[in-house]
Amino acid sequence: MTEHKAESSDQALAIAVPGDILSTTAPLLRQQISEALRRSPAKQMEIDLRAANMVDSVGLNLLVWVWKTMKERQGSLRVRISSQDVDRTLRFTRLSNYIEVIREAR
Amino acid sequence: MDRPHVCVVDDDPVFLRITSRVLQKAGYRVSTAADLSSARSLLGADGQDPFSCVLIDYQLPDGDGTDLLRWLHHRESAVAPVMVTASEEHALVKQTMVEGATNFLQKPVDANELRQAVAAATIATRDRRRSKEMRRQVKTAAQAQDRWLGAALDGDAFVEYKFCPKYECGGDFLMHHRFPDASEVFVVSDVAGHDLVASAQSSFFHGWMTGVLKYGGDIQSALEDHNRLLLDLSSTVAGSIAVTALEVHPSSKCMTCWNCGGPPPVFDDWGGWVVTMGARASSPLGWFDDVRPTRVGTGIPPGPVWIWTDGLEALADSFEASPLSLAYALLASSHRDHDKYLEQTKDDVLVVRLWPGASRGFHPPACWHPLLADEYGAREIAAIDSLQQLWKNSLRMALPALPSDTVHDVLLAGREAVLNALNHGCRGSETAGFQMLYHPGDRLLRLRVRDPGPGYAFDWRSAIEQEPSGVRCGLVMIHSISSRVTVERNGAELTMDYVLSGDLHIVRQEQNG
Repeated sequence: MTEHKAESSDQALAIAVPGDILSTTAPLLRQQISEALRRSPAKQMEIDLRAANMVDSVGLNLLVWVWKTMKERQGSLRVRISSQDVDRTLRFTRLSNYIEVIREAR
Repeated sequence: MDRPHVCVVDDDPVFLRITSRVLQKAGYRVSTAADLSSARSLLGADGQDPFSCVLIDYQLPDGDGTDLLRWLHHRESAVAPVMVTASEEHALVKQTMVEGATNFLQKPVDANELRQAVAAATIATRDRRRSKEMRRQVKTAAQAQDRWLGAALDGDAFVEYKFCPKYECGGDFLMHHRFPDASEVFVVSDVAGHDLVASAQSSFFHGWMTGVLKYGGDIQSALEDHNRLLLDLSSTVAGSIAVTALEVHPSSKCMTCWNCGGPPPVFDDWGGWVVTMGARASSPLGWFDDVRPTRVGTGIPPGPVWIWTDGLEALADSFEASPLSLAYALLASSHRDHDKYLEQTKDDVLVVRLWPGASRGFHPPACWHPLLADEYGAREIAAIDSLQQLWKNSLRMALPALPSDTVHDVLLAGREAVLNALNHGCRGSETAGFQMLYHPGDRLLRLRVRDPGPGYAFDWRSAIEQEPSGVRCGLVMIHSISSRVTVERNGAELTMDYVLSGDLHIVRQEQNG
C-alpha cells in the first residue's frame, strides 16, 4: 500500500506523495488528506509531488478538491513538483493559474 | 577405411621413434616434426591428409607447445591436440587445456595411455568435423531457404517481409501464387517446431500447395487434402501447420482470408480504423479430421495488409509490447533495434506487409502503420496501469527516438480516453477499442478510442476558461495535450492526433501554440 507522509501544525499541513497520482492511487491519498484535514484547522496545505511523473484526471480532481477545501477555509494550496511532465499537465489544464506551483530540481 | 593420421611433434628423436612405432602398430599413420616451424609446415601443407590427432611436446627448440595449440586453433579448430610434457606442474596442465588441448600425457609415456589418448582424440576430431560439416550444411540450407522465400515472392507481387528463424532454418514460410484470372493468393504458414524437420515439412507443404493451386485446386480443398495427409502421417513425421491464406480478387475488389490456427491478418479500413480479419478461433492443419478455417471476406483495403506467425506475438509478449509495434520495428529498414529484439526470440518469426493487387515495381505510398489495436472491457479499468505500461513499451519499441515528454503526453491522453470510454461508454460486457497508429511520412502519431455508448457533448474551450470544477478534467486534458482532436458520434469516437516535430516533440498547432 502506498504510504503518504503528513505533517501538520495549526497553520500548515504538508503531505508528501511517494509517486504518481493516478486513478489507481488517488483514492487512498484522498482518504488520507481528508483525514488530515478533518484533524487540522490549517489554512495552508502543501502537497509534495516531487516524486510524481504523471498526474491523471483523477489526480487533478483530487488537487481541485483540496484547492476548493482550502479556499473555503480562506486558505491556499501549494504543490511542489520536479517533473516537467507534471508541470505541463498543470499548465495545460490551467490549474497552475489557481494553485501555487513550486518548481524544484529533483 | 583410411588409417587415422597422427602428427607427433617432439625434438627428441628417441621419443619420436618409439611413439611412431607404438601408434603404427595400433593402426595409425604417423608423421613427425622436430620443432614448431616444421610442425606448422607439416600441418598446414596443401594436399595433406587431414590429421586426426596432434601429439605436442611442451618444450620445443623454437617455442613452446601452447604456441602450436593457438596456431592449430586458428587454423583447424577440429583437430584434437594432446600435450606431452615432462613437467608435473598443474598450472601448465591447466594452461594447455585452456588453450585447447583435449588431453595431457606425462613423460615417460605409457604405451597403453598413449593409445587410449590418441584413440579418444581421433574420435573427438571425427565428431568435431562431422559437427562442423553439419553446421555448414545447415547454413547452406538456411541460405537456400532464404533464396526460396525470395524466389517464391519475386513474381508479380509486392511484398515486404522479415523472416528470422530461431535457428538457421525454420518452419515458417510465405508463398504467392497468381491465378490466370489475375486473382492471387498469399499463403503464410507455420509448422509446429522450429528445427530442420519443421523446415523440411514447410518446404514440402509449400511445394505441394503451389502444385495444387497451379493445377486448378481451390484453397479450401487444398487445405482439406493437406489436413488428411498430415493426419495420415502424424504418428511418423509430420507436425501440425498453422496456415493463413489471403485470396485477392482485383476484378471484384474483394479479398478472402482462410485461417487455420494462425494470427488473423490486419489492415487499416477506409475510415482509418485497424481491422482484424476474423477471430483466432480455428485450429491448425493436422489436428482434427475436419478442416474448419475461419473464413472472412472484405473489400480490398486502401493500404497494405499485415500477416505474421505466432513467433512474432510470443516475442512481442516477452517485451510486454504489441505485436503490431514489433511488426513495425522489424519491417522498418532504418529501425535501430532489429537485432536486439530478434536475439530474444524463442520461435521462428515471420512478418509480412503485402499490398493486395500490387505487382513488382509498385511504389508503396506513405501510409498509416498500426502500432496497437486492442479491445478492453470493464475489468481493464483496474488494470489501467498495466495497459499503460504495454502502450509505453509498444511506443518505445516502434519509435525508440520518441522523447520522454511526447511519450508521457500520449500515454496520459490514451489513459484518459480509455478510462472515459470504459467508465461512461460501456455497459456490462461491452468493450471499447483503443488503437495507436503512426504515419512516418507526415510524422503523425494517432490515438483512436471508440465505445458503444451515446457519447457526451462537451465544449472543452469554455470548460478550460472557467474556474476548475473537477468535472470532466480528463476531457480537458485530452484536448489540451493533443495537437488536434476529432470527435465523432457525439464523442463516442475520439481521434487524437500528435503532430511531431523533427525532434519528435509534439507540435500543438491549434490550442497551445
